[in-house]
Amino acid sequence: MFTPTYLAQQLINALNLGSLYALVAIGLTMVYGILRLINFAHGDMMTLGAYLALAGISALVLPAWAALVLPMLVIALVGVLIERLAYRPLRGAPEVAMLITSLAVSSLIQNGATMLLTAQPRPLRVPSALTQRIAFGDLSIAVMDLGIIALAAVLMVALGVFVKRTTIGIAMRACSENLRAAQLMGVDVNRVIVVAFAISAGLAGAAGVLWSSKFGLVDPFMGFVPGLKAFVAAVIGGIGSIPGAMLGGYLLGFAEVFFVAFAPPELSGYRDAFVFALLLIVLLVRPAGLLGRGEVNRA
Amino acid sequence: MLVLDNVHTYYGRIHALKGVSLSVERGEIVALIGGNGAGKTTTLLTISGLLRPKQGSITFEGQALTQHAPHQIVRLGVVHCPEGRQIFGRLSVLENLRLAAMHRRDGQAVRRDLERVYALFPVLAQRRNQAAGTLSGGEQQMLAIGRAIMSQPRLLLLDEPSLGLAPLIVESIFKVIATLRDEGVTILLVEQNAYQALQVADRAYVLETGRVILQGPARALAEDPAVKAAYLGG
Amino acid sequence: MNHRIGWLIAGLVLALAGASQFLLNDYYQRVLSVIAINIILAVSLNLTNGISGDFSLGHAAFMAIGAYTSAVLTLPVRMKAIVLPDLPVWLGQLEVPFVFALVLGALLAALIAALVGTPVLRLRGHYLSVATLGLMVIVQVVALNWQPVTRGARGINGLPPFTTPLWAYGAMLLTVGIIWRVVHSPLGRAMIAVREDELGAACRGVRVFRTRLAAFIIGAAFASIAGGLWAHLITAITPASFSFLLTFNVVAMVVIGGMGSISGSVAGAVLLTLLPELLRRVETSLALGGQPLYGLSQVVIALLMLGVMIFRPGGLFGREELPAVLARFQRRRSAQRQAPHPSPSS
Repeated sequence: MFTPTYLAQQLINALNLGSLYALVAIGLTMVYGILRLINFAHGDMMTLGAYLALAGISALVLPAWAALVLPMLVIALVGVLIERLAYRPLRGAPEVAMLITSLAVSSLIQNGATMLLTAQPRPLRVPSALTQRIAFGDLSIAVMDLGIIALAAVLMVALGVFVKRTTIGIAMRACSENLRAAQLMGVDVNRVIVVAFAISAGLAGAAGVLWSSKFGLVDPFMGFVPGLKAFVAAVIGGIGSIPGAMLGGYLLGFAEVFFVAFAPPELSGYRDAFVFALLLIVLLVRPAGLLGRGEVNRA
Repeated sequence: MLVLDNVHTYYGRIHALKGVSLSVERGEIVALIGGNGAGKTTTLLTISGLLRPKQGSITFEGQALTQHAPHQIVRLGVVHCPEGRQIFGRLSVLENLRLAAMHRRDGQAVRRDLERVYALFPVLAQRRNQAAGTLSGGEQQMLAIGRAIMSQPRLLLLDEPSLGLAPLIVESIFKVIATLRDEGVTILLVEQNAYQALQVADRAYVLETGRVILQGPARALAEDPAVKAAYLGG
Repeated sequence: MNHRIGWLIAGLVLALAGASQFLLNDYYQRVLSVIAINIILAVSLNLTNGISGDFSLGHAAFMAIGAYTSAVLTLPVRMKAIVLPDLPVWLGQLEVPFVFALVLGALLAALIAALVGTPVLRLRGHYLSVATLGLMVIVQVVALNWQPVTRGARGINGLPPFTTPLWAYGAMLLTVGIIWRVVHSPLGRAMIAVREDELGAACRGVRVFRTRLAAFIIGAAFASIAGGLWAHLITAITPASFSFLLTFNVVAMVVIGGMGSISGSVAGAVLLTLLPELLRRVETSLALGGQPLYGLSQVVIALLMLGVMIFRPGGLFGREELPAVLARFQRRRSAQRQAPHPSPSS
């Protein structure tokens, strides 16, 4: 039953899911690296992105590319706004204060959306060109699936270049290594944090658009569990490390898809439990993750 | 150039500086010596803005530094080369140097300074693309000073530049400090190695438990029996 | 607190709870019981999140464990044959009294807390937050898929309505009493020492890991009891009942009351139980474009929490207990009376 076609199909699925997790995990790991904040509201940026895409496509009749780019930009701004209003007043407070705040922001977004838009899932219809399938021999792949994989790759390469080459990118890596020393070098930490939040939220927004296009539904709580799983991905890769988050995202995508594909069917309902069991195992065996460094003991 | 007046700083509940007053004139090397926990590093951190004084004033060329964020203080020309080097180990040598010049807009001068750093420490030029974490301790200290130079200091705060280094390297680091002074950089130097510090400094302050207990020309302090007994090993 | 006053208050609360069963209608009895259950949840979560300093987000998981355990154990054999026909035989034949069901649920929750806590508590504090949230997802998924025992998404309904105000307040007083004793015992002082300065505590001979684990386990056990009480109050449970929303609300009670203060948690629980009850009327009557404003009370709670974090990070009571807060309040008032123009420096 595990024919090559079936395997190839699962491979595509895994790459798809992995791309989305990676996009979300990058933002979590970036912000964590600099602020030591586990941003529980990160997944909700996905939700907001998806709602914007929905509005863009159904109300404004935007072309597909604009329905992706516009939400990305708006969500990047939203991320900056949240940082300014909710997290910056807490600079210097205990780490847990920011964690609690991110929980509150998450709840605010989820329930605010419920209040204004109802909890009813809404269908998102993508242009039919994207749902067409291309045949490769026995294998047929939706245009969208290829698009997601390619787009995520493009975004990640662009981010890689940004972080590697630009001064603000260098500053970002410096801040995540040693925030105090970066300040002594004349780095404006607030500016770096703003940029990190913008990129982080923008990527999550893009992931939200792609996610809801793939699964066809938008609801106020859709981003929460993917956001948590992205954290698992970031931990697997080594939290704080951007390449680690990418690697962790793809690994988690593969683990999840292949668990469902190869485990006995009666276990496939346990897929989310499997993901978090994986988290516990990673924390037990290699808490620094695959590409991470130290930071095991409590400071 | 720099004046601290009755500065009190707290580390959480610990009263670390209890009314420190000192001044640094343009072109001087001033040394700050004292034992462990005397408040030397705290003084530097308070000047560079990572710690805020509860009381007292810090002025640099008439500007109140206490009003500025740490990165703005760097822009004013007060550059802090921290204890323990604190280079960014995952960044390359060149990235470390570029980062320190990030706030500067004068591209020409930045390139000139980079050449100057490479001339002072040729080993950094050789390893420019290597991760800074792979450098030896002495090379890391060179990078730390090179990084400070890239920030275009008018007043350089140097914290324990000789800590944990081999004598030969200490020698060359102090030579560079003298060179910098000759080029017009004013230096406030914190050292546990009081002998070396008093050799190179013009004036010095002796700190003990958060207070200045002695001050004067470096040469005079080096002859002071109390200083000799406490910090110069008799 | 003075021992005699403690007993007096406990007796008074029990008497009032008993009386309410004769004097109040079902709705008010239910609200009263929910308040007591929320107090148990908040006070037990406070043990980790406030006292020992590990920020757990797994309370809904332990509550679910208690709820399902108690449901399966107490459902009459006759009904099990219909509702849960695929239960293992020994479970299908079993029907235990409510108290035992609650205790067994607490033990099970404690065991699972020990299994999860052992790896996770060796790490930095905030890993616990994510791992416990992960535990919540795992428990939910298991409840959703373990058809023979949990009936999956349909949940179990028709549970015997054991939970009365008397039960709820009895359990609440027991919880608060025990946790008060724990916090004021050597173990509790060790927990606070670990929170304040882990390294320092270790140097003074506190066994840090065991202390943190103890707080986590005790908190989980009481969350489980609250879950059992809740199941037999509502009489129907589904996996969706034990979602992140529930955890969030308990966290909000602890944070708003003041992390580290037992009486603060009590106050937070009372406040955040009554607030949604009051707002529920607004939700349905105040309508935007004909839509009821579902979610309004959660939005208010979230905003309240953001406000607390920014303007009063210690919450209502900070880390102090009620008597100390009252004493300080009284001192301030008498000071104001003596000096009619207080200086701004106070």
